[in-house]
Parts: sequence; structure tokens; C-alpha cells
Amino acid sequence: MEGFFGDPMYGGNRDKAGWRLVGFPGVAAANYNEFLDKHNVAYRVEPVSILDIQENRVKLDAEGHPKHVMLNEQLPEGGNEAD
Amino acid sequence: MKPTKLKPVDILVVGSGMAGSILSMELAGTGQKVLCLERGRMVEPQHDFVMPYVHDELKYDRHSDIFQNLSRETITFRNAPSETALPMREMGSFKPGECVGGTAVHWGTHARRFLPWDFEVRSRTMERYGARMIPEGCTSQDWGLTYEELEPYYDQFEHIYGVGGKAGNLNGEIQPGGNPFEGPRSREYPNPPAGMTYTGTLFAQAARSLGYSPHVNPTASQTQAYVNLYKLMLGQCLRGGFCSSHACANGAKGSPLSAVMPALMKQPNFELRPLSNVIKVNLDSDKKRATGVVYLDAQGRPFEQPADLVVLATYTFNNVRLLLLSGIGKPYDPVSNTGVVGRNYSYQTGGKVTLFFEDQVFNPFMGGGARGTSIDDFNGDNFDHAGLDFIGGAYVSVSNSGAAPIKGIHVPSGIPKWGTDWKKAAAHYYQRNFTISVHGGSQAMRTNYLDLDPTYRDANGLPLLRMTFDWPENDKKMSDWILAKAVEIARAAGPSKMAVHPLSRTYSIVPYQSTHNIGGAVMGADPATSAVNKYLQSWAVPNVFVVGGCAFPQNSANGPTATIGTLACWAADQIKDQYLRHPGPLG
Repeated sequence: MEGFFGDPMYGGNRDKAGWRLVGFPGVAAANYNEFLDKHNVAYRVEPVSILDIQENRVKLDAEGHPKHVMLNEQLPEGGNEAD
Repeated sequence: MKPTKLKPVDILVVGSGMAGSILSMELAGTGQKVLCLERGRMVEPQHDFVMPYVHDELKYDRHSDIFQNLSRETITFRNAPSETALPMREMGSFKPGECVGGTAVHWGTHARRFLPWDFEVRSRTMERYGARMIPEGCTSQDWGLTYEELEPYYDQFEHIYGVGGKAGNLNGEIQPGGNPFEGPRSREYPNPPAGMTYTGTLFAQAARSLGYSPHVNPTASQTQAYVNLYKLMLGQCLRGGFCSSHACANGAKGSPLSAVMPALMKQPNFELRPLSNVIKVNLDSDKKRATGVVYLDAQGRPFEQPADLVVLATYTFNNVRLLLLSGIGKPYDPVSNTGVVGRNYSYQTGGKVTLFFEDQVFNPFMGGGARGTSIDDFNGDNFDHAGLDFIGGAYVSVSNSGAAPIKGIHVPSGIPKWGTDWKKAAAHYYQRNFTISVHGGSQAMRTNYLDLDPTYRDANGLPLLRMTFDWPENDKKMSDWILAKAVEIARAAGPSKMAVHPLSRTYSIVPYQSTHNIGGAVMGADPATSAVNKYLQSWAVPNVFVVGGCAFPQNSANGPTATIGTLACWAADQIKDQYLRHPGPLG
């Protein structure tokens, strides 16, 4: 579990496969308060790891939170198709 | 090695966590020289806890460097006095902290006050049901302090930590939307309540359909930017998860690091000395007065620090251990049921039901900051126990704590723990489940206690603290009975599947449960059954105060952290207004 779901910077969870499987966004963006009150709307984004940020692959806001790239709003059966 | 003797201070506070930081701040206000010794390292949120590195579940949940270093000191554990205790070599059931700010750096911020009943468990139980209702072997007792006396200090704590919530009882008048079972509060919370999440709404609808009173949890994660009582600015919580077990990168979690330390460090008569591990309180020859402490620095060099007043404000385990290592108060003996230090150790009970859905999604990674919804209909003595075979109760709640996937994936019963079927279920249900938990109190029992281990020692050669604990029969009956109510609520919420997890029959120290270890140096009105008086002052050595979860005679269903902060506010006032004017036993 630790290898499959931990941050890829530790060597496991390659290409965030564990996170993609379940739809976990990784490092949180700063915008969750806008979504918490929206009921039954899936928040689907390209997951962001600490590794991604260290490798400068992700845009950050002024406080260091990543800007998530939204995927399709609808969550298909069985979770993210990227598994 | 002979300790190096240092220059005396007026007031010495041991520990810089929830209790020690508030006590240091309040006592520094007297102008006396205050020194705080902290065995953990210095941490500065703007350097140590920054984005994105705090959003690391593997590190903070499993391999954290802000938890106690068990390779140097741990506890030993056994379920019963007939067994041999063994050292706890990995964090499991609970996670005491070790850094400036202590365990409160990684608390979950659920800030419920205790119920008025919690402070008078024994007398109110006897009054309502008769003496026969007290379980056999149960040593739960009154605190010697009532909710009414403590109310102004709850209010003070909430204005230091920026607690958000909705009052349910303002000066005796029930308020719509709040918790109608809470004790009367003198004014509203300093911050507004958090909004209700989707899972909270489903739970609230189901609970309401059965006649219960759901309310949003009070939280010390700021629901808006807030300037606190010490004029410190706390930021709004972003609900990004990574909260309990983690430090906050946004200054949004009410904690010693955000709500106290920046103001405390500016006090000219205050000094914080991290990496200073106090191992003993020194007493004078007749053992009635403390003269200071001995501590070891990071290199293991001993120092003697003289002080007029010593305040022990560390985690439950360390406070009790320091009393035992220093010979302050009579150690508890479960055979003769005499002595006070180590007596009435208790914990907190859990039981839960997980609900699985097919076509709802809950975004479980959002949340944190105790975001959730509860009912108090089965807490304390809020329901009639006549005809039941237990005392006490639990709050029942759903929480959006920000579920990260290492520990936050739940699949229905009957799914294998690995392989293709597990993967399929994890992918489907991670987003489509939530849990209703039964967070219950714990009564004190004669055979649940803390003492010094006869065999195992720490890195300095000093005996480890030994925990002897198992679930009281009372608590298992209580938890099971309330879990059945929670299952009724779960059913009313309409899940496709449920998994019911009752409280374990025997307590295990391995799976994480809660960092709510309390008792062992309990407060009370009688020196025969308490280590400290209602002012948190040692009966045996009046210039020693002992503040923390160790003072609770038994545990409420509600998390202890807010009440520990409140006791610190209370004790600080007693020291300022009474003790420093007339040093000696208070009363």
C-alpha cells in the first residue's frame, strides 16, 4: 500500500498509477472550498505529485499550491479509465 | 556526569505543546522569568512545513519526524496485570508528538467541549440511577471542577484557537442549528461553522429522519481568516486534507505554532529551550518542595535548572513518568487500590459502519480540519440509561478528514485484500464510500493504569513507562449499543452495501485508533484518589503543577485536545491569581 499509493518521489506509484486507479489528486490545490459544497460532482484532475513539482512540471500559485488540470467532469464507472 | 548548574528562573514549564505553550504565554504576562524546556527540536512552519512537502501521506502518516522517537524512548504495554509488558517499537494505536508545539502540531482540530456530565460522572450517575449503576471495578470519579467553572476558560481557549461552530445552547437557550446537548455557553463561537459536506448532508438527513439532532462539528481549522486573542493572524483553511497527523502549511490549523508561539517568542522575559529533555524534578530533603529540574541536552549532557515553580505540561505519558521518576506523589497500586500516580489511565473507544454507494461520488480527499457532522443524542448521559447495563456514551459522526489512499481506501466486506478484485473494488469505492463512526468515552478501571516498567529502559537508562490496559466491559457494551443506532442511521442513508466494524473485544496497541491517552495524574477533590487538586496543583509538592490529559479522571467521548487547552487556561489563572500571590497549597 505504501509503495503503490505513496508519492512517486519515493520510487513507487510509477506515473501515479495508484492515484490514477482510484482518482486521488495527490498534492491538493487551493480551490477545494469551492467544490466542497457541490454535492455529487466528481472532482477529476490530472494527479500532481511532489515529484512533479520538484521536476517543474506543474504550475503553482503564489503559496506553492499546484493548479490542477481538470479532466472530464463525469466520473465513468470503475473510476478513472487511465488504469 | 555531574549536572552543570544554571541560573535560577521563576517559573519553569516542561513541554511546549497544547498546555505548555498557553501556560508559558499566560505566565509570561506576569513579568516573571519564564523558561520552557522542550525535548523536541525547534520547528518553524515557514521552513519546516511548506507546500508541497507537507502533502506527503507516506511521511507524515507513517514515518514522521514530528512524532516521538521510539528508538530513544517508548512505553511498554500489556493488556492485564498478569501479563509481561513488551516495548512498543512502532507507532500504532496513538501518535504522541515530539517537536516544539508537541502533539498539537498534528492534531485533527475537532474542538468539541466536554459535556457537563463528563465532569461529574460518578455523582450524577449515582444521583440519577443509584450506586448500583456504577460498573464493578470502575474508578471513574468527579473532576472536582464543574463545567460551569470551566466555561469561561473554554471560551478563552476558543478565542485563542479560532474555533468555528454554531452554538447549540447560549446561556441556557437552545439555538437552532447547533448541538442542543452541549453545556450552556456564554457566547457564540469566534468563527462561523463550516459548511455541510455531501456526506454530512446525507448523514444529517438520515439522522433527522430518526429524530436526532445533527450539527456541524466545531473545528479549530479556521473557517475564515481570524485574528486571535494574542493578536495573531490565522489563515482560512483550504480543506486540502493532509491535516490530522500532518502539520499545516497554511497557518490555518489552530495549534501552538500558529496560535501561541509567534506571540510568546516576543515576550522579553520568556525563553524557549528546545532539545532539552527533562528527566527529573529535583525535590528538597523533606520532599515537599521542588527546587528545579535536571535535563539532558541533545548531546546527553546533564544540566540542573533551578526554579521556584515547576509546571509539568507534557503528554500524558511523560507527565506521569516524570512524577514517578521524581518521587512526587504515591505510585498507584492496583492490588491494594491505593496511591495516585498512574491511577485511572483511560482511552477512547471506537466502532464504525462504512457505507458503500454505486452512483454517488464524495471526493473523499477534500476536507480535513474536523470537517464533518455529528449527533450528540447518544453522548454522555444525554439519553436515559435506565434498563441499560452501561454508563457513558458516544457522539456519532461522519467526518471529511481528507482521505489519502494509503490508509483511506475502504472496500466492502468479502473483497480479497489484494489482487484484481481488490483493485477493481478500490477503484470503484474509494470515491463512493463514507464512514459513520461511534466515538465513545472510556471509563476508568482499577486494573487500567500506568507505572514504571521493571525491565525495559530508555536510551538514558531510565525505566520506561508501562501501560496496563484493556477495554472495560462497560465500554464494549456502550460502544456496541450505540453502534447499533449508527447502523440504523446508515441504513436510512440508503447505501448499496455496509461494513460494520464493532470495537475490538481486546484492546490492541497495533492499529491506529486515537491519540487520546488520558489519566494517570488525575485531578480531584480527595488526595487519596487524585494526584492534583482542582487547580492542577500537586497535593504532595505544592510548587509543582501538572497540566494535561493526564489530569482527566476518565475520558469523555469527545476528543481531549480542546479541554487540555482549556485546563491550561484555567491553571494559568489559578497560578497568576492565587499561587503567585500566596505560594503554597491552594484551596
